[in-house]
Formats: sequence, structure tokens, C-alpha cells
Amino acid sequence: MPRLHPDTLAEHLDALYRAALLLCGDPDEAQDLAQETCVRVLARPRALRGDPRGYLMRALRNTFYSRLRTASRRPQIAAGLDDIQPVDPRAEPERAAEIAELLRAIAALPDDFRMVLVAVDVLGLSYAEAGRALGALEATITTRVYRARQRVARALEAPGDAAVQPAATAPDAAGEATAPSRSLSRGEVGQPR
Amino acid sequence: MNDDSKRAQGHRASQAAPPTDEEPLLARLADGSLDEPRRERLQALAQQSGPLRERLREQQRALALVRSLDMPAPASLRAALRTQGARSGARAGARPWRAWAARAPRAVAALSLAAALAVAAALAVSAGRAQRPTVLAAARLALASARLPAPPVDPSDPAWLRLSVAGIPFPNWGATGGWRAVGARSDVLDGRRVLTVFYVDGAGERVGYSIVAGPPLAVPGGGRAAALYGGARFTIEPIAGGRLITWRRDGHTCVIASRKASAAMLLSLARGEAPGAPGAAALPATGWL
Repeated sequence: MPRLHPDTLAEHLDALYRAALLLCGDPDEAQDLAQETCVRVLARPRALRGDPRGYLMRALRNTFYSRLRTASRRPQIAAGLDDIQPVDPRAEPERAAEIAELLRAIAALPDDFRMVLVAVDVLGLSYAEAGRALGALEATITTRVYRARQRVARALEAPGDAAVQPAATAPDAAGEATAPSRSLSRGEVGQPR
Repeated sequence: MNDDSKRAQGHRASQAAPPTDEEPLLARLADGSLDEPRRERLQALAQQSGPLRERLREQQRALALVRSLDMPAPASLRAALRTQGARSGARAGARPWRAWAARAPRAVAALSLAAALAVAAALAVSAGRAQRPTVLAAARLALASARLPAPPVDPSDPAWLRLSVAGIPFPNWGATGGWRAVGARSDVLDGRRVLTVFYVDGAGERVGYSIVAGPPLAVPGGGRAAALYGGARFTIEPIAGGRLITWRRDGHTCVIASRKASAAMLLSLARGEAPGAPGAAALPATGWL
């Protein structure tokens, strides 16, 4: 069975970087996260069948939470939402501002929502694949994608609106299906398998 | 409104809106992943209901925005992957990388640094067509997170760390200034090598100190705060999320940036690096310009 080759990883590097950017909200952090994910994936060669994006999503998620856990143990000054800047200062100012707004809106999402948005809309996983990668039911993924997009759209309509609030303070009217055995949380950290 | 009209209105509403548990399916309708029977039914419902149409539009709008993000991976990330890939491939025939890494984490870090420097050197060859990086771009690196462990103290001179750019070493403020080195990173900025060391003081305040290889960068001017000490010109620039101070050492641009450190603190740290002496006390101050 073929193993994940660096060339294959390189084919997905743009998507991996964009996914990291949406998780971190900061280009430098995103580069660090994507690079660390690559290092982990290459350091633990694993036989893969078919599309590796689900595996990459798991590796990215685990690396992201691992970095969060490490960062919480060392003194540092965390970046706030106001610190998020346009990605490329050489880009058209209006486009750069749009991107910055979008990143702010996504950064304000609860982690679970941000993860599914990255898995489905950035990495292009199917809902079933995203469910397997994130350890959640397909119905849960569907609900989270719906809520995540809804919050992003509303936040961009009215920046600062109360719609952009963590789930705990803005419960979803539609409710959310939950995985029977495990749901995504910051406690679920580990190495890509 | 009588009871009959209320009932009729409620009936129309229940026909127009899908059951609550199906509302999330609008996400799949928006991205085309919904199966045929449910798609047709949900589309019909959306046509009948204004609120539902609006929710569908929200889904489509957010999806289009996220998919419009087309930033490619930075060249430095791609180069790092090539280096990493070549290294892991070369070691595949020897012994498992994982086991080796577990036994020698320091060697891994050193190898990472060496690889990053090799990439930087390779990219520097093509510097002729490279653009000049900006001081602000260097400051962003100084505000980023560490990728490498802190360099050790130079045993021959504890005032300095054993990490340098073009022979210009990073200071060791741990002994006298209370700022200990906690990490480092190596980047290639538009073809130039930039090494950064991160320091933290006892209160957890953090600064990043970057030295840029190659000719000096244009220093921001135009009325920004600047000071002369010991023949060096220090310029302080407010940036998003903090401030930077920049000056030159032996013709190379140095930048210290922090999210919270005061301008006076940055100046104090930078003055310790002014030409002629590592200690700020020895420097004649000529004051603000």
C-alpha cells in the first residue's frame, strides 16, 4: 500500500495552509501550524488508501490542539481578534480588508464550528469524510457547517453583531446532533494516526 | 385576527418552513451535496418561504467567501516541505525517523535549523530578482511564534548567544537584563534570511529580536519617533498589535517588536546593542530627534 509521499503532501500544501490560516487567523501562525503538521505527517509514515485529505485534516486538528495546549503552558501574549491583519499587504486594499473581515468572523467561531468549516469548505472533504476525520456523526457535521456558515454570513453583514458569539452564549435554535461516543473538544489531542 | 385565520396562517407557515431538524440541510443544498429527493423538496420549500430563502442565501454567501480565499502556501513553507521531505526520504532506508527523533530531540532541532539555513542560503542565490523586504514584514516575524529552541549562551562570552547573522550575534540578556531567550525561528523573507530570537522577562512579557541578512532595509521615517545613541539611530514605529524599534548593527537591519513592551523598554533593550558596547550604560545619549 503506498505511503503518503512528500510530493503528494505538496499537492495539498495550499489547501493545508489555507486550512491552518482559518484555524489560526494569523499568517505566521498558520505557516507554523502547517509546517508542524507536515513534519508530523512525514515523521510517521502511514499507509494510506485513496485521498489523503481526511488524514491531513486529522493531523492538522491534532497539531492545532497540541499547539494550543503547549501555548497555554508557557507565558505568552495571545493575539486577540483585533490583531488579525490582512493577509497580504501587497494585495488590493479592499480585498485585503475583506479577507481580514472574513478571518475575524471565522476566528470568532467556536472551535468545533471552525473545524468543520475547514474540513468541508477548505479541504473539500465530504460530510461523511469530515465526520470520520473529526470523530463526529455526519448529521453533526451538517449542523455545524450550517451554523458556522450562518454565523460567518451574519457577522460579515453586521460586524460586531451579537450573532458572532460562542455557542454557549448563542444557543442554536435547530439544536445539534451529537456523536454517541466522542465529540470534538480541546481535550482530544494526540498524534495523527 | 380570528382563530380560523390564525390557524390558517400557522398551517401556511408549517408548510413553508422545513422541520427544525432539516434546516441544517440548507448547508448541503448550498454546496450541492444533498441527495436528489431531499434537494427537490428543500428547494421547493425555500421557494415558498422568504426566511428560508434568506437562510439559504446566507449559506451560499459564506461558502462563496470561504472558497474565494485563494492564498497559496508561502514559498518558504513549500521550501521547508521539500527539505523535510528529502530528509525523511533519505532516512527511510536507515532507521525509523520517529525512533531517531525520540532519541535525539536536540539533534532534530539543530537539523531543522541547519535545514532552514540551507534553504535560506539557496534562496539567497537568487536574491538578484528578489524584492527588498520591509521592516514591517520583519517585525511580523518578531511577533510570531518560535519554531526552534532558544540558542545556547556563548561559553566564550556570556554576554552573547551562540547564534548570529553575518557574524552579528544575538545578545544574552538573561544574565543582566532579566530577559531570557526562550525560542527562535529562521525565516526567508523575500529571499533573505531572517533569524529571530524570542525573549521573555519575569512578568511574561515577550519581545522578538530579528536580524535581517543582506543590505540594510529602508528605515521608516516621516516624523516617527527616533533617537540617536552612540552613533546609532533608533526608530520606533507603532504597528498593529504592538510596536517595533529598528536600527542597524554593522550595516544590518535589526528589529525588536513586542505587543506590550513600552517604547522606553524597547529602546532600552535596543540600546544594549548599539555599536561599541553591549551595555546600555556605556552609551552616550544624544536624545530624541
